[in-house]
Amino acid sequence: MAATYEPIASVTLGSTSTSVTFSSIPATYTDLVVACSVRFGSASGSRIRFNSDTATNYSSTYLLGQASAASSGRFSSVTSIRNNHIWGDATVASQFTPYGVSIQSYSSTSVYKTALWTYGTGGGLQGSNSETGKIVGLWRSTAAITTIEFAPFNATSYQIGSTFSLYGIKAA
Amino acid sequence: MSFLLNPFVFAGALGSFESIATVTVGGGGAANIEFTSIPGTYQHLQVRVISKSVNSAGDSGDLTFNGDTANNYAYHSLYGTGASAAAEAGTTRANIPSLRLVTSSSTSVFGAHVIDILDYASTSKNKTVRTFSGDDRNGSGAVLLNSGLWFATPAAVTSIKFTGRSFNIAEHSTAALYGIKA
Repeated sequence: MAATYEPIASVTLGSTSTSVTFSSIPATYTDLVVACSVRFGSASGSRIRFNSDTATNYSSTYLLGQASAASSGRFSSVTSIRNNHIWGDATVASQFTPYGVSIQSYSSTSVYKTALWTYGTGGGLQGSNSETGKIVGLWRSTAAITTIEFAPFNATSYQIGSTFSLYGIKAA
Repeated sequence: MSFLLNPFVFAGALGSFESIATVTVGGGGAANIEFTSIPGTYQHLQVRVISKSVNSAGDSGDLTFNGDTANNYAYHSLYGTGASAAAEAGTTRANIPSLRLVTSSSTSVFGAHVIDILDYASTSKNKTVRTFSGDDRNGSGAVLLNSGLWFATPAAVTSIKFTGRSFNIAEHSTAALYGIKA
């Protein structure tokens, strides 16, 4: 059987950046996975947009663990899928937040696109503040995804050393 | 590079993740999605699913192994409803509730699921399953983490079946089975 889970593109920031975009994503896979390790210049999280759509076509539901508390909430009819609800992303030098984003059936023209996003800062980030989260996000479009943009949710930038890697998985 | 820290990002070293089979539900829906004759040549399995129900109130997709429908399963679930976080568990039951089958009323919305079955070919371990799944319907939906146990036997898993509990699984629902080598 043929191996799959192939790297499509990868970015390691050599200078700060206010966004990272994967464009011209081929439709030849079944699912996409993005693995990131990010740090911000100041408090922020990330937002994800597809195909440069900035309209209110996104929504998400999240499950969080923050210190000893678990919670859940949602954003409806918003302009991106986002994380960083309170503490979720790193600003401290040498502390990066890992993201894993799975986008299934990304090239289907029959279904809206659902993304599963997991992230979490390590314990001890900025004292005791840290967060782990799971998000399901929806983009209400049946268009095939050809572009994925990551950007800080607040007015800051991704710091040097942040990495973003895009993989494709092809089903038999 | 061989980790399982994140079930869908670092599923294995590149080149060790292989597609085994895919099922896509056709028009009219189907009572179940099943993979049979799964080879024992991998270390782990991963099933990547999008799913929906033909029922307007949604449904559950229940997981069984090797045709065993006796009360040999258990599960725990941690989930967020968009309003609160909660957990539940079930013991001595006939399946593992693994798929949220989205209501047919939410046009074009499908739930997404990544299911890992670790050491599936072992003949000395009961089988444990973990699932990250969710569906968002712009104002409703849930995100879930599940763990499931099949404790009847340490037999190797050779078949996997997802069955709509009360209704058919809807058209365009898709399950893709992958094998991960150590």
